[in-house]
Amino acid sequence: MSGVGDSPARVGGIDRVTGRQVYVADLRLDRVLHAKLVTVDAARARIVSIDTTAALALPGVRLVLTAADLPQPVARFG
Amino acid sequence: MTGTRRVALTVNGRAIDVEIAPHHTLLDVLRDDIGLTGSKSCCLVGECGACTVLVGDRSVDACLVLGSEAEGWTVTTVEGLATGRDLHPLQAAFLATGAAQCGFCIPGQLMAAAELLGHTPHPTRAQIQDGLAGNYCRCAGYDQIFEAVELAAEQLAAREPAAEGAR
Repeated sequence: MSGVGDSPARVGGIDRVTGRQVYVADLRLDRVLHAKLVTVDAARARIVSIDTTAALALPGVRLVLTAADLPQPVARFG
Repeated sequence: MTGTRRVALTVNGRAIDVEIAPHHTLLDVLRDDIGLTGSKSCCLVGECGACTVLVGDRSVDACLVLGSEAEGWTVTTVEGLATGRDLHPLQAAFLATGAAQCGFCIPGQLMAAAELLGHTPHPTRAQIQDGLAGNYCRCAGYDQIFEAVELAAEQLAAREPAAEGAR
C-alpha cells in the first residue's frame, strides 16, 4: 500500500516556513467594517435595557447589534 | 487622525520609506504599512515571540518597538530568510523535521533560531531550548523545532568545510 513509511512533503509547509501562508488576521480587504464587542463590566447582572442611541450617533458607526436584532425566539445552539 | 511620522529603514535588504501613525509598533509597520504579514501579531506584550524579527543580528519582539524607533535600522523578517528561490537551511530543516504544524509560531521560531545560529553555530539541545525560550508553540511542536535547528546547524557547518578545518 503506497504512503505507509513514506515521508511526504507537508502540504503547505513551504508557505509556513516562508511567511507566505495567509492567516485570517493577515487578510487585507478593502472597505471592511470593524466590529467591536461591548461587554458588561459586571460579574453577574440582569440586562434591563440597552440604549444604542449615543453609539449610533458616533461618526463612522454603521450598525449596533444587540440581542433584539436576533431572530426571535433566539435559536439555541449546541 | 493625528499626524503621521516618516520612517526610513531597511527591511530584507530593501530601503523602505514610509509614513506611519505615531503609535504604530515596528510590527504594525511591517504588517500594515509595508504589507509583510509573515511576522505575526499575537500577544502584543513580548511574551510569545510570534513577532520575532532580526534587527542587525539580534532578535527583537517587533511588538515592543515603536515604528519611529526603527529609523535607520536593518530589519530581517521571515520573508527575508530565503535567497531568491533557495530556502535558508533553517527553513529546509523545519520542513524536513515536520516542525511546522499550524505554522503560526514558525516565522518567530525561525528568526530566533537564525539569531542563535549566528552567534552559536554549534548549539547543544539545551542552548537551542534557551535560544528559543521566547517563542511559544501552542501546537507543542517543540521537539521537531529543536531537531530542525540541530539539522540546520549541521547543514550550515557542512557548507563551510574550510572554516571547520581552521578550528
